[in-house]
Amino acid sequence: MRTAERGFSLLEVVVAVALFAIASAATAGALAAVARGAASPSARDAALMTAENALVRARAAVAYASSPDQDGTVLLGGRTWGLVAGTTAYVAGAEIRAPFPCRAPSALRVRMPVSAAFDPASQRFSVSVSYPRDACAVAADGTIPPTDTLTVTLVQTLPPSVFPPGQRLVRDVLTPARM
Amino acid sequence: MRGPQAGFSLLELLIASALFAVVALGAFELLRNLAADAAPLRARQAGYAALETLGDRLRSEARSATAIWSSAPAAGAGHDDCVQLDFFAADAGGPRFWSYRTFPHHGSTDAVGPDVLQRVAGSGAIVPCDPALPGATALSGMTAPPLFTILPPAQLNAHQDPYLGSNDTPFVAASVPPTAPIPVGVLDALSQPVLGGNTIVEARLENAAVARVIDLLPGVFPNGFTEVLRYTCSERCDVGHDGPSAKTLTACAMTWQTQWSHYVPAGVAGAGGWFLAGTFSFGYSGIRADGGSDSLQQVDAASNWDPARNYAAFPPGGPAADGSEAGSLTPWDVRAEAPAAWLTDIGPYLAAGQAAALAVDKQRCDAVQQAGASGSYYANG
Repeated sequence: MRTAERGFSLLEVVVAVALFAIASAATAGALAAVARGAASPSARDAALMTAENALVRARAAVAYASSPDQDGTVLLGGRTWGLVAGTTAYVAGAEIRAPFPCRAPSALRVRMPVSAAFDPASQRFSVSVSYPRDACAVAADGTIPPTDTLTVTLVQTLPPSVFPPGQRLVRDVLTPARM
Repeated sequence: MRGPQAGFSLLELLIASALFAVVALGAFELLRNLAADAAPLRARQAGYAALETLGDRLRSEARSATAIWSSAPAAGAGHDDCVQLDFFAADAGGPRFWSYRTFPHHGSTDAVGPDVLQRVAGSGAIVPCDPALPGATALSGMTAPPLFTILPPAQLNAHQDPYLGSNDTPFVAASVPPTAPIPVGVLDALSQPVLGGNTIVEARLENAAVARVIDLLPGVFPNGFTEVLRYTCSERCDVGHDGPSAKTLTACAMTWQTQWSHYVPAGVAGAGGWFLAGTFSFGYSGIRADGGSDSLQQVDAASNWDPARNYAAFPPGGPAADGSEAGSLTPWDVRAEAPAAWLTDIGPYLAAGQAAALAVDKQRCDAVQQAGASGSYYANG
């Protein structure tokens, strides 16, 4: 036992320094993790931008009806809604620049899987875009690891279509009929 | 061993100092790296936030715009040639024009640098690439001139992702018809009519921190466009197509007319029952905008006798209480029952195909009656 007048033994000093080193390493790791996380909002915003662009395109596709110079049957049969009913999958690209602290030499291009779904009955269009939780974990070809995937989803009920001026007014009832 | 009053030995001090030096060196290196990264990180975050803010602003402005176009989609070789994106809107406050532009060929001595995106606004059309027009900086530090691309809806299905080169709009049908934008009634600075419509302008913007592709679609339809109610027909929807002109039909009533009925007692053929036949009529009517009246009569036959199968499905029941064998069907009294209730009762016994057609026609009649004049139901012409 050490008396009140004794100093620290070498062993005690070594243990204390080792504990300090471990604590420092843990702190540094936490700081690095926070820094790496700084790239995620960029990826999320890129996914959000992709989803918003999809909504804009969906709205553009249904915004204007085709020229109604045919009778209702041809008009409806030839056009329907301008959107593919059901679910459609594709991949969208996004560019994330210099994600800290990956220190990528150039912009990182991410391949973001997208799932778009349209329900003609409710005119409801939804789009889900996957993005990386940690941009530094994205593979060289831009693929997002499955274990590092987050998703952002936007949903919109599309407004009714319009016809350009001068065209005949065509309104429809709720159910099909033969007359 | 060191006695209780002894200090550290030289060896102990050396070892302790060495350990401290190693730890201090590591900590110093970490702090140095963090400090070195802090400045570019702050710059990157500022650039990132600036472009994201601009993107939000462009989308917000697009929603209030009637027309979006690019009067200068690419800069030529001239010093003041610019890339310019233009907006137009009109509301109670009058017409509004605003534009975003950049001068890629400007130098450091110019009032507007080559990496600056300016916003110019006014009540009159914005002259393209006029550096004398005062503007506010919307984005600085651009690493490339903006790129504005027109995307007509008819071409969306074939659109390719700018980064991957693969199709990025497969959810839009290939059958979207081309619909030309229309003049919105004003002229631009070059005396050309400003066109509104559903054409998307794809804006590609980038700075050192981020690159963004933003699709912009005018959110306000030009005046005079006509709203079309939703299409839900799966087959013919041409109500009122019995004449050359469209009809206005805002009311519908359903009636039943018995044509014949005959009770067959139980016997050799098995259980007895009613043979019956009649018509359900759907009478549409309405008053046109010019004061005239429109009408349409839809008649559907109904019988439990199926000639295709030479078979009758007898509803449950027997002779009427008064012994009559015509116009009455116990427990349903056809003469007293409302047509809609009678259709429900007899529905399961109707000949093949009649029940489904009657159900559809009744649903349509109900829809018209429900919409009524307030629903402004117009027959398809």
